[in-house]
Formats: sequence, C-alpha cells, structure tokens
Amino acid sequence: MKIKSKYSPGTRKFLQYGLILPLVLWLFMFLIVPYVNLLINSFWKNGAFKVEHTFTLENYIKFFTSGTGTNRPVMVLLDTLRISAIVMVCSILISFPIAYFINFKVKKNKQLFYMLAIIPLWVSYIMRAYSWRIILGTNGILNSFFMWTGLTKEPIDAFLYSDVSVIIAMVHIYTPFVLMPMYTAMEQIPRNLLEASKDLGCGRIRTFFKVLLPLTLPGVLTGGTYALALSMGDFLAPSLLGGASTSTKIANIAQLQFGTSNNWPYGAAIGVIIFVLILLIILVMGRLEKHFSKLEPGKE
Amino acid sequence: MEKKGAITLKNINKYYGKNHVLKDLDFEIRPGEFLSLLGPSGCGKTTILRLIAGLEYLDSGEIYMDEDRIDRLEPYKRNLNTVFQNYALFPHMDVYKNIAYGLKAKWLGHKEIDRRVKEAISMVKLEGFEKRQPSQMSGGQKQRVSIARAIVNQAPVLLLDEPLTALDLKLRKEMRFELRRLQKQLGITFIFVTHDQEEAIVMSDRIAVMNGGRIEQVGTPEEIYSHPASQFVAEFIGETNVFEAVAAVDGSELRLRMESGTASALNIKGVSDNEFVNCSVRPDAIRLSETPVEGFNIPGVVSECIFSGSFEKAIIRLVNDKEIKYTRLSGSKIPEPGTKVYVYWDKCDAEIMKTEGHIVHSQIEEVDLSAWNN
Repeated sequence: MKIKSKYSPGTRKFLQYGLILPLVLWLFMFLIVPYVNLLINSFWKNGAFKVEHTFTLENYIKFFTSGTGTNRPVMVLLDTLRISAIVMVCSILISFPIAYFINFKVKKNKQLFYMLAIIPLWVSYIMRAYSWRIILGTNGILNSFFMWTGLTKEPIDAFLYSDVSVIIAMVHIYTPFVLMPMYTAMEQIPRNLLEASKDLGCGRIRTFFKVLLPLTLPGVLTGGTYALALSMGDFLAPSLLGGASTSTKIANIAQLQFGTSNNWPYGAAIGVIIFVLILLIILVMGRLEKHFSKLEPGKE
Repeated sequence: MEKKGAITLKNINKYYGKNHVLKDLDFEIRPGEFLSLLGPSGCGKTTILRLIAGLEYLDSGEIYMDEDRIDRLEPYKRNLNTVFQNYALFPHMDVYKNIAYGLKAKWLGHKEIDRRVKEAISMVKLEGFEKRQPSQMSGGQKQRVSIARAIVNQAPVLLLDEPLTALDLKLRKEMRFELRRLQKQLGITFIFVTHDQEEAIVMSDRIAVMNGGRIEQVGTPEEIYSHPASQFVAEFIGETNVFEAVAAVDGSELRLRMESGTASALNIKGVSDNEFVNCSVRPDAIRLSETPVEGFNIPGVVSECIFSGSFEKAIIRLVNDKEIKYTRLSGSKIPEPGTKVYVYWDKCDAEIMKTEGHIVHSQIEEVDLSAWNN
C-alpha cells in the first residue's frame, strides 16, 4: 500500500536533500576543504619568499631523511607515538578504577560522582596545563612539600620541563575522554550477568576477568583511541611543560613550520603524515573494537 | 554422597530501606520437590529466591541447605544454581562456553567438561546450537541455554526466577511441561518463582502462596485450590465467590446468615455460634435452581451471559447488589439474562474461612426476602 504524502514530489525531493544540505556544506567547508588544502600544499615547493606552485615530493623526502640521531623527524614521530602510548595506558589505568567505583560502589548520586570525574573538561586547556607548572615547578607545591617534609634538601628540577611533566599533564587532560566511553560501556553491562557468574561458582576476580573486563573492552578501546589520537596532535603541553629539546614532539615541529620556520609545504607534509598515522591507528582500534563489540550486551 | 537439596528458612526478615519485605518467614522445602513461590508482584517471592542464592543478605534469620547453614556464604560457595528471569547469558560467549562456564570455574578436566556440556545440551534439546551467539537466538532458545547452564553443574537445588514470563503464550505452555520433565529426570529440588497461578498449579508438587511478605499457605495444588486457607489464597488461585456470613451451628453443619440470604456448609473447621466467617464457593461449584433448595435461600437475577470458548460464564446479581460468577462447560443449559434464579451449592464445595470480621460482617441482619420469594 502506498501512503499518499501531503507534499508534492518536488517538495519531497527538496525535503529529502535540502534538509541535509547545511550539514554537507558545513562538513565540506570546515573539514574536506582544509584537508584537501593541506594535502595539496604538502606537494608544493617552498620558494625563497613565497610558496611556489610546482609539484614536488621533497617535503616528504625531507621528513624521512633530514636530521641526525634523535633529532630526525621520523625519530621524533616515533618518540611522540611512544609518549602518546604511555599517556593512553596511564589514562586507561586511572579511568578503569574510577569507572568501576562509580558504577558498582556508589549507590546514591552516581551522576554527581560522574560529573565530578569529568569536570576537568570544563576548565580551559591552558589553565590545566599551566596549573602543572605551579605544582611541578622548582618552587612549586610538590617541591615545597618535599622540602617541608625533609625528604629532600634541594628542590628537584626533574619534575618540570621533561617528558614526565608532559605525560602527567596530558594524562590529566585526556583522562576524562577515556573515562566517558569506559563508564558508559560498564554501565550497560546488565547486573544479572555478574550475579550469574557468581551463581555459577566464580569469585570476584574470575568474574572480573571473565565477564566485566571483556564486556568493558569496547569502551576501553574507544577511550584509548581518543587519548592516543589527541595526545599525538598536542603541541601545547610539550611546549609549556616539556624540556627545551628532548621533549619536542612531532606536533611542535609541524607548528614551527607555520610560524618561525615559515615553511608551509613542509608543515603540511608533516600534517599529512600525522593525519595518516592517526587514521591508521583509529582503523586498527576500530577493527578491534568491532571484534569485541560483536559480543556486546544489549542486543537482546 | 547422596545429594539431597532441602532448604530450610528460619525466621527470615528482610528490609529494603524501611520497607519490610519479608516478615518472620519460616518454612521448609523438601528435597527433590518442585515448589512454586506464587504471589502478586511485590510480595517478596523473588527476594526469597535471591536470599537463597546469596544475591541479597538477610537482616535476620537463618537459611539451611540440608544440615549446613548457608546464609553467610558467598553466592559462589553455595551448591545451587539460578535460572534468571532475563536469561542473563554471557553475550561474549557462544552457547557452549556459556554452559561450560560453571564447570570451568570448578577446574574440571577438559573431557569431563565436554561430556557434561553435551549431556546438558541434549537434555534441553539444543544439539547443533553449540557455536551460536546468544544474540542470534530466540527467547525460547536462550531460555534453554540458561537452564542448561544451570543444571550442568549438577547442584541439588535449582532456583528459577520467573523463567517463562518473557516467552510467548504457546512457548510458555510447552516449557512448563519440559521443565517438569527435566525436574523429574534430574530428581533435584526446583524452587520456582511465578506470579502465574496456572503455571504454579500445572507444574508444582507444592505451592507456597505469598502475600505482603508472608506465606499465606503451603500445600499441594489440589489443597490450595479446594481448601484455601484464607480469602487471599481463594481469590488469588482461580476465580471464586466470597460470601461474608455469620455462622450458626446445626449439628455437623453450619447455617450461614448473609446479606444476600441464607446458606449452608459443612462445619469442618470447628466454627462456633455467631462467629464471623467468609464462605468461598468456586464459580464452577455454584448451582442454580428455579425454586428454593432446602438449606439455601439466595435469590438472584441472571444479569449477563458470556461465552468464552470451552466455558460459558454468567453473572448473577443478588439482593444486596453483589454480583457472583457462575461457569459451566459450554453446551449445558444456562439461563437467559433476566431469569430469576435461586443460588445454592453442594455443602462440601463451600470453603469456610474464619475471619476477624469486617464492617460487612457486623452489619449482616436478617434479610427480608419475602418480596423476592413471591
């Protein structure tokens, strides 16, 4: 049976495509165009005073061959990947107990606890990054505390301007992103699955590894991907908290090309490389997640 | 060691906050029986099950399994298994792994696990489904998996929390017989929670009827149906007509004075003169006559006739405007609406229940039926 529409065919067509048009335009203008622009730019030649519009691969070649030792861009990229992986693991390790606690141990005001856990998201990024300078600095809270307790006589410089401080700050900043999907995944696990596990003779620990963890895994992967991708592209935390040369991250090099170095095509090439790498990571994680969430609850 | 599976509940009290959900509960479940906990929602029947399973903690009282006290044990240390209402299958495991879950927790050998899982699968008739994921199965199939997962552990007691409510009517009726067959085959104790009186009557050895956190009556389905201990039981199990009456003893019989007339019943429960009683008569035990029958004088008018498949029902309005139900097998003669009739029953079909007496009872007076009898 055909349902008669109150609109004429022309109007229907307009409604079908017209209403989606703003979204398509938005995505096109602010996502597709910039990326294509970036891609095109990465193949231009950097002239003496301006960008020459001649096709070249030298930006990419430069990326993989220039520099020596740890200063080679490729090495910086790998180092960034390493730092990001550490941030990801730390964020997951911190988020998991929090998500578990709020989901299973808090009886009242669950929402309140959840809000408290993700409230750092509402504080500006710069504020959060700077606050670590106050805590970790030479005359910072941490050093003052250690000296007050008599544990150390001299302030420890190592806290600030090192990979450690960069990692601490990024973990702090990206943990809420990890917590949110993890919390949601855990919240969706029917409680009677845990009861069934105990009923069938499994104690707390076995129940955790056999039921709770596998069913939370999709959320862990989603959150982990966020942390990894976001910290890969972060140049603020390294430049605010990182050491002079050792903590230069790939995003800093890219940013430099658009500023001081004024080599836009090279910057664009680095951008494309980071973009492709993150895309690959997301793809792999997505695959893994799909594999596990095939088994996800709530399909009944 | 022979497994038994008796469960004894002593003085159980349970609160949810200020809500007193189980009140001084005291009863015994015999080894190897099929016992149903029957009652309306919120009567505490599921709570009892969860207490036995160890998923809730007691506020006071003791629970014994055979001779061992179990109410302080963690659920995984209790030798019993539960079939959950919404199946509670592990979505990340296939049918085989779901069923093997409990056996793996006991660190049994590979071959032993395999043998027992296959046995359980064939018992619930799920051969060929071993590699299916729960999400690819229908409700009835999932229910079978959850039953197999529980019985594979060979515990002497199986708890079933409304396992059939999520299924459609036809499947539900089939599963009733299958569960009964399984219970006979395994010879273990089944404690079955349900709010469906038909289900309880068809399946159980004994039924415990619950109301408001207490057990109203425990007995075989026949006992509960034919000799309900209270008005609640009478009304909850099948349909019934309850007459409030003042009793007068006449030899081995009772003469009942009611708002709607007079009637008779056997005095089995030792009712004395002028005691307040409730008299329950099932709709299928109600008889109708055109003239008053000896011992009875309850005039009424047939107000409605309803055909419902194999039964015919009629509503009869009495002099106090109370309406009573009357059923007969289809095909037998039922009076037309508007017909004047006299209601009576076989004296042994009336179930007399002593009562504290309500306002109705104290207001019962001798009714003047002269206008009706003419």
